[in-house]
Amino acid sequence: MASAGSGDEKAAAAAMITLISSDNEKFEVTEATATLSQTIRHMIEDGCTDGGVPLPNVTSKILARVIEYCKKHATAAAGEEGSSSSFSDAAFLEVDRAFLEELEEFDDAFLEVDRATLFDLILAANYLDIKGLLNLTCQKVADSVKGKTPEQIREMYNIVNDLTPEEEAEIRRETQWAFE
Amino acid sequence: MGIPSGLKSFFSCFSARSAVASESDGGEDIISTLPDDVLSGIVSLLPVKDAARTALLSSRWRDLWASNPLVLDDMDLLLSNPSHVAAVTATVSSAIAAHRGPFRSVSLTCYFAAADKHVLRRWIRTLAAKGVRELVLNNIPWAGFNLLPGALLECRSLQRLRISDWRFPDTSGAAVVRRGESSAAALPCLRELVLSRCTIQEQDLDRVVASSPRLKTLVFVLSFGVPERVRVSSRSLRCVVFWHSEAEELAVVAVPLLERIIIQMSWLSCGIGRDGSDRMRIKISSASMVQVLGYLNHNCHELQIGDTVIKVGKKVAPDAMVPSVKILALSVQFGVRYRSRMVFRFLECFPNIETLHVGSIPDRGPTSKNGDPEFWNEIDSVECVKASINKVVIHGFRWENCEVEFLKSILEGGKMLQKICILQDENISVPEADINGILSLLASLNKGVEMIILAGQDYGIWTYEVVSDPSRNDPFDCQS
Repeated sequence: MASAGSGDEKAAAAAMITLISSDNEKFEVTEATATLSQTIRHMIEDGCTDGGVPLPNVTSKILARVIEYCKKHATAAAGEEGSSSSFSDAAFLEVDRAFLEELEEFDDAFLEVDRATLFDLILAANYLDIKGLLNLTCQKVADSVKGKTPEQIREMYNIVNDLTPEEEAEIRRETQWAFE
Repeated sequence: MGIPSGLKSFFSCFSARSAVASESDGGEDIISTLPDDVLSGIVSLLPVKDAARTALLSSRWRDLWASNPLVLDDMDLLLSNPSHVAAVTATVSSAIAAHRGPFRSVSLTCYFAAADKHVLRRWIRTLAAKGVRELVLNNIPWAGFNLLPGALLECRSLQRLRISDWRFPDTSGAAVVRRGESSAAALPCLRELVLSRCTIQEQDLDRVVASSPRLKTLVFVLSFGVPERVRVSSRSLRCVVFWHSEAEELAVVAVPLLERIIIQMSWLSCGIGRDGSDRMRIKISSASMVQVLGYLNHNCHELQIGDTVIKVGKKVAPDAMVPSVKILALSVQFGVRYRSRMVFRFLECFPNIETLHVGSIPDRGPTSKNGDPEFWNEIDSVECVKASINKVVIHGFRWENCEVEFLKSILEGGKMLQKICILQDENISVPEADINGILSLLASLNKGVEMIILAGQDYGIWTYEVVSDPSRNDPFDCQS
């Protein structure tokens, strides 16, 4: 667990980055994997990754999941960027198409988590600025409220209704069209 | 079970919260602990009615929908309420009235009759007033009316505009400028204009382009001869795309920044029954900065560089060459000699090509299959083949003699050649032994060249969005 990146076959060739979770667990990942996070990309550009990147907002449990996501999606991104090296673009895209389906399956399976984990993943994706992961997890939340009444959504997410009856009546008037 | 309310603020630091998350999140309002921009992001992923209703959840949610740029796609409404068009119309009217703007992205499908055309005009006025940035307007071709309201040209905030199946309004009275007077641009932010199956008059297209000083991408989709001539002058345009479209003429009059001209026609429709009289004329200047051009097709296109019309029987003179082109794509009917001679001329026009894409058009006539292979073994006499092309990609390869002869000549004569990529026609099957024989012959001609063969092509992912994406260096290379 502590060396999540060691199995990566490209590890030998690629620069490695150490990420440190809030509970002090160290994760070694390739730069390609780490830079899916814009936050980490900027740290690398600024040259402040020596001795590891501390991520005080992310627990080891969540960081492991985030890295799992980034590894998978970094491989897909490499297909596009590496096209000038040993394969033709077309060759990569051939691989790409099968890979895209695989990615979709991966994403679906990745989202099979309890609600607390889902929200932790959203916060981590937001903090680390990983657009794909943020979109994926937010879409899951959006899908869960789609077609539901405000009462059902409140109940589902334990949202406390702190609106006064007058405020509520006013908003209801303004959004009447959305209930028709 | 509840969690002490004193811990609530602590939860914004979610690593701490995770420690108790395993206990279950029962009772705790964790969704409201998300930062505002994340919550707004979630709201913007919802269909418009669901999004607007979130205002009722709590004071935290009250303003999220209305205070963040609107995302509205009426297809969501139509799909959930297909039999009540009037209700969908009413919802769109209410949504754009209730939201204070700006409108990040609005997609509207016209599903009402001519009698209601004032509704569309009012919508577009509202969109203009509330700052719409991306607008998609789809018409249903058999609907009651097809003329777009002129108010469209008042949407000064537009950045992307995509119109399908509409007739473009007469712009002569609109607040657009005439060519050359750039001070009062009507569409100062417009970057991308896509006209799909639209009818637009030549002078209206000119005015729209002239009044869009930031326009980078102009795309025609399934557009046939309307307008008849597209003569472009623009100081900002980078990319012109004719996607399954044709016109009598595409003339690049004065477009100093133009980098790409992409013309995609079905190879089949190009290869059959053309006598040359209805070719699309493509005019560019030898001083152009165009780097990417294609697919030029000797059956469908007539190329004019400066004042010179490129003719089969005449070698191209230096003043009719475009040195800037680095990536050229050609559609070639290998087996038909008298037509294919034009391929030599096309190649002569572009002395600095680095990547050559060739789409091999199947022959359906009596000359098919073997044609005249010797004809192709002089292709290495063309300057760019000898001295600049380093990569050749053949799309729809069928292992026919003419195609092989073409490759042989390039392999023998290409001093810069590094890579050949063969994308096989997915509809044919050739015995493996034959393929191996040809391959070893080709490989023996030039040992330094890398050869890649891929089977089963699918052009589904090759779209006009892909070819006009400036981050892709070679727009023809996405056809896996």
